[in-house]
Amino acid sequence: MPASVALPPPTLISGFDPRFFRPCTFPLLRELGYGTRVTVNNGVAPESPFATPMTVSMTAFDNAGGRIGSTPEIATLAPGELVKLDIDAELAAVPGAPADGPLLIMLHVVPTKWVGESSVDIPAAEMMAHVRASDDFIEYHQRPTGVVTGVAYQTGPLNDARLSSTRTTVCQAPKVIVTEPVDTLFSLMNLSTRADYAETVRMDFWILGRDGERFVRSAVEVPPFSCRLVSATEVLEQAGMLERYRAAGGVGMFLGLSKNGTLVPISLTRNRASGAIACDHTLPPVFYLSTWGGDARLRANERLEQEFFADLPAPAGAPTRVHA
Amino acid sequence: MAYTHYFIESEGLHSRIHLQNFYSTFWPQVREASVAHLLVHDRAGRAQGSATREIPPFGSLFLEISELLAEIGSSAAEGTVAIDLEPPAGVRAQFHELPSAEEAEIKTPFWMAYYDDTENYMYVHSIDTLAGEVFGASRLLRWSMTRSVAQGDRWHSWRLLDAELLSDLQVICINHSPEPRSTVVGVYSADTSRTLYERPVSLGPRALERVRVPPEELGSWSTRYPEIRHVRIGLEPLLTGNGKPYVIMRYADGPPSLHHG
Repeated sequence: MPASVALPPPTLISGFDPRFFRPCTFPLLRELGYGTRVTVNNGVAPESPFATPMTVSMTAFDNAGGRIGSTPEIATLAPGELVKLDIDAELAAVPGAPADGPLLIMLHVVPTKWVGESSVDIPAAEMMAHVRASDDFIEYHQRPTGVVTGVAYQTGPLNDARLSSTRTTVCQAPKVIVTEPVDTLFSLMNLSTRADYAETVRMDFWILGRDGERFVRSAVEVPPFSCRLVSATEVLEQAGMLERYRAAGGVGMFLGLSKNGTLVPISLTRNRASGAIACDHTLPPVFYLSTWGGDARLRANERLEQEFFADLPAPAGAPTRVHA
Repeated sequence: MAYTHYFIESEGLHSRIHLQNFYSTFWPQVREASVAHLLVHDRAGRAQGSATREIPPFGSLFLEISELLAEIGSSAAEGTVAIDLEPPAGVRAQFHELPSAEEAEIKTPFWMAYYDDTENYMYVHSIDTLAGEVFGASRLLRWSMTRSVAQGDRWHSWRLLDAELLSDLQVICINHSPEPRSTVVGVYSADTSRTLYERPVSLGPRALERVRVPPEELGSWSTRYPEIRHVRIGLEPLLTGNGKPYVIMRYADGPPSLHHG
């Protein structure tokens, strides 16, 4: 039997901080030499009953998940409107934000009716309408080479017991390309829709070869409101498996399991010579099996844990690239 | 249901399929390989052939499109490939565990990696399915699910592109449906109040067209419309429900970027 039972989400969330109503969250990759621009939208169409003008403000978190500060309103969006923000420029308005190094950024897209409120009652359907309509484009660019890349994704309700009774992550990403000039990094964000969230989430993972062979196991811990980058090259190198992995074709799959929270995984396949970088999100299980979830998901996670993570001691000092 | 991806073996770009045996993640106790069925069409929508590959438990298929085309005897430089991952018997025996099993759909999303000769990579995850086809279903269910392929709505990308930096912009419009369809490919101001470029496109079943916005057009926007800093791509309408285009673009003299719209 699963350790916990999945319950349906509520229809009304009381005492909700509206800054988390429709967040857009992403890491800066300044330590890799990229600037960040984001296209953020108020995607609910004017004819929808949930259409409302929204404001945008921004909070920066340091690498330990500590809140550095927030901007005042930096944009307003009518229903259906969108805006492209130069995040590096907007950071100037965050008191105490460092000029370099890793940061996690959260854009708060908030209905104007709730601006200034710290606690409101939110119909779940209204929140989900806005989350589903969001598909913010996070664009990374590098000068002077002209490299530009990015990924669109949603960061809806996560790691919030009011919205989901179970929180786990299975990450399956057949995108671990490791060759001489190329590394693949996995960006793992630990986010929540409540300000007092304080759970550090651990992800255990394997890098598997094309035939399913097990190359290396490792783990990473991600503090709340922070991001960690896991370099596949470094994980393989520290396990003494780099040359073998490359000799086998340099391609494989990242298979990760978190039992105590949801992490948002983004893969970054980067040519270290040119700076070109491929960003993409992974796909949740419902993209494969449309009705997947609930207790079936919990049982599957237990089987996965038994197969890959139960009979081995957790590695000490996870060999991952972690923002210093 | 099979997802479909665009492939290109021209313009200095190559394509490679990335697909894991995802059944293993749900039922790791099953030690049987799954079989990937691949179906290739060229840019005109002509069927080029099919192939199969076994994927071991927890294994992944990394298949160069050039290898696939050679195997089926195709010289297509562009087209689409659809994949349906057939579950082994041991997995099918577990389907009783699927929540609302009678409503469940099994799909095969995968990634296409695009790269150039110096290993600059781009990725696109699956966008839309091979409309009008369902594998592994009864005849009646298949008829029910494929008799009508819905057209999408008017669509504008949620990504804004920097108008003055654009040096190349190509929109790959794909008709995933089994019948001819038409749309208009366009580039618009951020608020869509101004049309910068439009071109009607008519496509046969399974066909695609890569619409390259003339470079002289790109170069003229910042002088003709200096107030427009950002532009967005649009299709009116999407040819299938989620049939967003692929986009190849370049800022200044940087490397190309290939992404979904």
